[in-house]
Amino acid sequence: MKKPIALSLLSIVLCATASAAPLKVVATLSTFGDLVKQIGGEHVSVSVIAPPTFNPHFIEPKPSDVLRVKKADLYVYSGLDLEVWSDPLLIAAANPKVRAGGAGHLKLSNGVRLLEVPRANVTRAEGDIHAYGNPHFWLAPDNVAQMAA
Amino acid sequence: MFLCIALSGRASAQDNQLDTLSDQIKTLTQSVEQLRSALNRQQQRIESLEKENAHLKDTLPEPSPAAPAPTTNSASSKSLNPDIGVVIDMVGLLSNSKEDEEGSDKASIRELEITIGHDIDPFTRFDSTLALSDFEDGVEIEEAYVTLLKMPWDLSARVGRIKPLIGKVNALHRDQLDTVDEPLVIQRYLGVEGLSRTGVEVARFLPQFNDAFTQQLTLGILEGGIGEDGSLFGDVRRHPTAYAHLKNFFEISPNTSIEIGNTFMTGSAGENDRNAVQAFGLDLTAEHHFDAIRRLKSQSEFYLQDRDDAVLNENAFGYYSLLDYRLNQRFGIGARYDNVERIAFAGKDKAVSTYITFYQSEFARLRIQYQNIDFAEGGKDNRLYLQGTFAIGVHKHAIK
Repeated sequence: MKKPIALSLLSIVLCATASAAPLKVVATLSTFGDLVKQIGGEHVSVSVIAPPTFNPHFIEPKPSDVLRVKKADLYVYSGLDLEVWSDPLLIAAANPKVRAGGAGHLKLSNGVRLLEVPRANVTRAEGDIHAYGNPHFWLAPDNVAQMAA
Repeated sequence: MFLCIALSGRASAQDNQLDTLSDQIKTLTQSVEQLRSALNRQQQRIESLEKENAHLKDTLPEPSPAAPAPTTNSASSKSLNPDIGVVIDMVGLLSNSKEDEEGSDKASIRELEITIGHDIDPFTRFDSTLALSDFEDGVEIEEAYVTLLKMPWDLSARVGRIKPLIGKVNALHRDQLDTVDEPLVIQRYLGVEGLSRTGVEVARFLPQFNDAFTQQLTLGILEGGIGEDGSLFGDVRRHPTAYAHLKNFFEISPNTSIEIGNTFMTGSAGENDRNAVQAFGLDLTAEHHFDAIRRLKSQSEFYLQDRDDAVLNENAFGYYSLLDYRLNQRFGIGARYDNVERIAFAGKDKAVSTYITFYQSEFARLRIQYQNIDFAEGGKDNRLYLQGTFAIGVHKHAIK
């Protein structure tokens, strides 16, 4: 989903729910969760799948994570295959709002200038490679400002 | 006179020095001239290229906005192709057995698994697992089902050939197991690879009263029958099997969890014994993560049969207990104890297994497992397994 549209939607939903229950947001990483919390404040209720002490590449979502995504209004994740467990989690949750194409599906890598995008065919013979570009864009302070904007 | 000779010699030496210096100065002057000449040529070349570049910029069209990085959700035709993954399971086995049965004292491709899956439309998704083996002719459909994503009342459903969500291990694929082989209670009661049948399964999360406690109820009905060499049910396909599983998940902390599952199954023992068999299952799993890598898991499953057909042991009981410890990024160790009463024999199958797993990468794994087994029908065996599991392509296991 286009990031500006998703952020506009987030704003509209936040306004509409200003006096209603907080928007339920599930973020894959604590960095994203904190970003949403900073933006949404008391209008969002944020939960995070991957604890900050865990390697985000190797998370085994728990039943409680599936239930949180099932109830979520917005699902925020990196994309670029950083969270390979994200697709199975979304399938298990079966929440059409937050699946790809849904109004509550927000991939933060959209619109970010990516580094190390492979220009030729990639192969695992090169070791740990990311086929769509470096997915750790959220570590760069400039990109965090971009995501928040 | 000597003074004159000395003075004249000294003057001569000074003349030589002057000549040498003069020559050096000439050489340096020539070098500087050459460098200056080269610099002038390079400067002219730079000016020429700058003019050329400026001309090209004037004649080129405006660049289009940078296309977004290709993603799994892009609209390109490639993203409409299904996700395909291949997992190869190679097993070498040394044992005391003299029978030339599957795998004894030889290496084999125990299973080549091909997974194919993709969204059909916004409402449904298709997933399948096809299996080939050194021991089987043809292709086996291990799983082929459609997941219904937009169900009422917060339900989710799978329709097709499935590995039903009963217990813990039955729903797993071989590459997901902590051991080389399935626990003996699964092999003896449900089949060598567990139970996989065609049917319908519906699941729902129950109302949550506490954020730390999650419950999920699964109900299903399958065509009758049982897995290869399984004994729980008979082979009559038109006598269906029904099951229910209640998962209770306790999140003690972000690093610690306990799961308790209850299973009930009912099915046919044969042509004239419809609903003659019930089975009750209990699964217990506790996990603790010490850090991002190190993890300790304890898992047990217990199954009790209640049969109305004519068998030796109407209330056969079997279980296993497993302890698995991931040491670091590369190694894991563990042990499993099996104890299974058979319906056709008075004794029990008992086994102790220990193993070491080497994780070459997230796509390649080697495991060595020793197993000492006492058979219910008599006899013992000592088995040494060496397993290699390798994956290519897209391979994302469904969450169980």
